[in-house]
Amino acid sequence: MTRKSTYLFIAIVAGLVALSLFFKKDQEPTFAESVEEAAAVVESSDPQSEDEIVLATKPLNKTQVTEIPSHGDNTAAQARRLHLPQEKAVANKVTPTSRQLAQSSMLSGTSWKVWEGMTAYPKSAGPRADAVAEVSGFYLVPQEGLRPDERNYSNAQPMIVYNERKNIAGVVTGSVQITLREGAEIDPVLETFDLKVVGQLPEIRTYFVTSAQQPYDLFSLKDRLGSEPGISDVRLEILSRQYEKF
Amino acid sequence: MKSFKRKAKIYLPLLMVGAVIGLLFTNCSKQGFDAAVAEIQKGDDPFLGYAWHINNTGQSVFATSGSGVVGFDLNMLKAWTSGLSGSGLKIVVSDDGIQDAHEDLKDNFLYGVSINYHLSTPTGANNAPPNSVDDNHGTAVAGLIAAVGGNGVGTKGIAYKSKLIAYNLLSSNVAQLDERIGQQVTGGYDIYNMSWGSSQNNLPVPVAVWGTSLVAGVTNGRAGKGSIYVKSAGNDFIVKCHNSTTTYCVGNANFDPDNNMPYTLMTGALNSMGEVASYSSPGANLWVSSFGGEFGDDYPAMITTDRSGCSAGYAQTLNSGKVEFERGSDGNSKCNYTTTFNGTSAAAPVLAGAIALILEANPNLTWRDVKYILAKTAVQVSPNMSNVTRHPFYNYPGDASKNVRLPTGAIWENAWVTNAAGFKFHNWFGFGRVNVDAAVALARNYSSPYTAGPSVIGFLMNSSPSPNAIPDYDAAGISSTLSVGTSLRIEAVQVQINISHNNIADLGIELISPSGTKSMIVNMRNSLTGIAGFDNDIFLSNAFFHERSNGTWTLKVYDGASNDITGTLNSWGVKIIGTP
Repeated sequence: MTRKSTYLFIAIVAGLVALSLFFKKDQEPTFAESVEEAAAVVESSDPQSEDEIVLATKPLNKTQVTEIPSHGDNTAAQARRLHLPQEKAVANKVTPTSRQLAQSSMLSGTSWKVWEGMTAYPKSAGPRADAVAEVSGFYLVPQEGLRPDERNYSNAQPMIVYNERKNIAGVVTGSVQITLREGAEIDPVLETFDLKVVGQLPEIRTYFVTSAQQPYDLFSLKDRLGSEPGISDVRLEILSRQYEKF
Repeated sequence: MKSFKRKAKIYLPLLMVGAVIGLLFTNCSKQGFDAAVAEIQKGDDPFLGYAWHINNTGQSVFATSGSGVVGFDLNMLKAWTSGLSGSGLKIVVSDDGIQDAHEDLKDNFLYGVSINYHLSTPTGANNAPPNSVDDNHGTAVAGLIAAVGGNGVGTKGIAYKSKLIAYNLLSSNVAQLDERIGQQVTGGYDIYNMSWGSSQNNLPVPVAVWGTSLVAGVTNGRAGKGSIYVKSAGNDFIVKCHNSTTTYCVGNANFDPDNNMPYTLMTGALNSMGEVASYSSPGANLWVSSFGGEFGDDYPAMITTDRSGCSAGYAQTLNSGKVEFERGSDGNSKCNYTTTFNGTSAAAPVLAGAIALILEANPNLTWRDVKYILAKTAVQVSPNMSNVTRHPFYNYPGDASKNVRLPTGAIWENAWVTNAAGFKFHNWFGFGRVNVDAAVALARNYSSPYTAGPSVIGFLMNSSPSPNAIPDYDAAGISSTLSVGTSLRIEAVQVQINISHNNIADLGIELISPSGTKSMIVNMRNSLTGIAGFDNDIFLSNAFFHERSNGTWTLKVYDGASNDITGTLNSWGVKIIGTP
């Protein structure tokens, strides 16, 4: 009797466990259910931290009310968790005064102006205590009285430019980006203009060149390259992007 | 007693039958599922259970505020059980380097073809390992793609037999020269992962070689089938306003001009709770959404590889965070793994790994096919979400003077739209959540809708819109139209905008197709605070995918701030990429 009861009990338990497993597996939520569950998580979550806020949207048929203890309005129909982001490094911490900005014939037709009294050093050369900003792997460093001369240009002392509309600084590296026409070769260009290649993307027939001599006339170089029949496009390299890891 | 015996005679067999049937249902009718679970458990990757993006069982990992939603994941286990592993695929991780010697990466690192900008000859480098204490990101990204599977340590990448290549543009002290920007998409490899971009509180100057290099890559890469370029949408849903150190605004993935071309797959991020991740940048240029998690201490982030040792990487003995795992506890004694990596930086490699499985299933797919398959099989997230009528800073945290009130009747962000071709789109999700098993199934039985190369119309411009005056603080705004005569089946639409206005952060811009599909290109009260005018800036919308291009296009411009600043729509135009 006891043994039979035990067998019966074991069988009942096994049956219930098996059935519950079956139903549990079978109850994987549909996508909509998953979303509802997510909403429920929002509803039931602990009071949100000071830096977590909720986006209000137009009310839905199925209204969800999210408590926002610190921010008052509780009419959110759907929530989007928001966190105030961590502080990012500010790429351009300083802005020039209008007196520091000068027009340049080389930059005519662009939004760039020359930022006098400022130059750049590559970060790879080591840290600079006098750096006031960073742009594209360069430190911007004030240099009293510096008035860059595009006609007597040295790559070791890059010209800094500034876009007033976008409030961004740029570094004129002294490289000129040229794109060759189909069939044109780079070597004759280098020879003709006494240039050296500092970078290349042969897949798109694009080369980054600079004068083999220092200092040199950057304005003239860009101008003359633009007249070369084998070249379809000429651009002055101005580094202004600050790429971040997301 | 007899009664009990009689009942037992009846119920015992029934229960036994029930047990057997239940077990059969558990183990047989769910055979695929269980095989998949077995696949996950196979090979002893001890931290794989934390990978909710691979199999979301509702695990909290080490989060204390909440756990995930069961089943809200890549839906990829069938792909693994069918034998897909990313084998034969080569994936470039453009980042800050990869610790190729890592115990869970070394067998998948492809030596001799990296680009290491710390060397005098960067190209063809043997490897590109981290070069400073800040170079932790690429190693984490790499693990999500291709952490070695079944090796007894760590976790398992989505494409756990694919090969990794490192380009270290983002490594500390590397000058981000234009040549190098273009170089990130060169080499002709299968997939490129770019978990980086510009801060989305500005309108940076485009780098010309970026676009032309991308075109070369999709034209010539993979023996003419086109390399696949995966890029993070950004983490700037909330970002400091332009030139502000104190005030937050809402960014947009479309503010980065690198993101306005159809050759990249922009991915947003989802968390484990079935939602858009808190930080994920919105944008009409998103393609799909992948998984990036939250922050790990509140809600689950991502398990992945971390620089080896407890004095390097994210997990370190001196880590001050709330998660003990990050200090070498809970089995992470060597601090070789992290569970707090997150962001669209994580979403991109998860997508890259997924694409590797799709390409392995059908190596003949072109880059356009891959985009199509992802869009076609994506799953809506929060499908009932309606128009967003309040700005996220309706109640600015801690400072009521910064509360944002939009004009009555304004729509800040559109709800999901179903376009005339049947594709569903939302600026927070693109076409939706990546669905690997469905994508693989479609890839295996695929008939490409693309029988010809893409054609281009435009830019077709409206150079003298009328009316052109943008009224201050007006939900109706102004509308302008232009007519497109050529009928292409749309693959992407670029819109070029020229507006005079002293604070373009006020403005919302919406493009409406001839079929009536609405796409919010720029949200009003955005992060471009104080910038004067759109100066022929170009933005991308994917919302019109596979609609026809011919007919009347409408641009609407709204001003969402009451500050007496008015403006002028000077010109606008559309460029349409598609097939006849």
